[in-house]
Amino acid sequence: MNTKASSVLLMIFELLAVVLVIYLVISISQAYGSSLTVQKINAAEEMRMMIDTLVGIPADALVQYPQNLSQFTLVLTNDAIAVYQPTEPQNLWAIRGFTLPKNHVAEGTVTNIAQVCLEKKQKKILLRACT
Amino acid sequence: MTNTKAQFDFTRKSIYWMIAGFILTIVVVAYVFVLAGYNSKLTYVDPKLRAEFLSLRFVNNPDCFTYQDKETKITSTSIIDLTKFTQQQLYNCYHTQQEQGFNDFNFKLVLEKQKKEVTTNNYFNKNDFALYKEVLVRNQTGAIAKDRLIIYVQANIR
Repeated sequence: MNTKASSVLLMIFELLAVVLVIYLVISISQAYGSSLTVQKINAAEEMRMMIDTLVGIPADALVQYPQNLSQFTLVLTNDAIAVYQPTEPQNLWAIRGFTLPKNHVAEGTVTNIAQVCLEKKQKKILLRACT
Repeated sequence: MTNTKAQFDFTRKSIYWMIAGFILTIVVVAYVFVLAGYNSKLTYVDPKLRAEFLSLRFVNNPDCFTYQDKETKITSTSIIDLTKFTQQQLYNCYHTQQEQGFNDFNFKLVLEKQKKEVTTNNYFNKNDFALYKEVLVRNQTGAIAKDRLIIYVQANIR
């Protein structure tokens, strides 16, 4: 009786351990392997480079981001671009900073817009939906 | 006798699970590191690429060093206005945060033939690589001469 009880207990413990390990591996994989996380970071990084490029050209210009960004919110300010999913806590946002020359301004917010554009008009860089 | 065997079995399995638990923890931690490394590979941007985009402003933007005709307001790209090639103008064009800015890109710009140089506010002579741009330099009298702008890049200090 005693033997049977302890072997059943051990079996339950083993099963729990296996389930826990499988759960851990799957949840870690989901957290790191989600394509949305990579897409979000890449979007922020590429937007920053697009802004640097727009600052580096003397004329007005319009650039369309060549990926679908409908799952994200983008916020452009004078010193950073933030990309995040609307329900996401702030510590998971992809934020990339940049420096604009004096008198230059950057602004704009888009949410769940597939085609996003960056427009440079004189000294202003505007983030907006492409029309 | 049966009781002794059961106790032995229980102890043996406990030891097995202690070792297995330790190894599994190491495997899961290693897995996290591998995935994190893979993630950073997917989002890696070559610092030279970013520096190239950043440095465009030095030769193309009239709010940096590029010559702009005062009357027509036409900007002549790749023509450096020597009167603008100052520390203050560079600060207006590009600067990093005073406290943490050493982790960002900083530059030393040298006009080779003019022997003039300016540096950004957190540049500490740690050159990670350099970019070279063939430019024309316009001096105060309006004379234009060929020169080379060397942009020494300090990607970060860690």
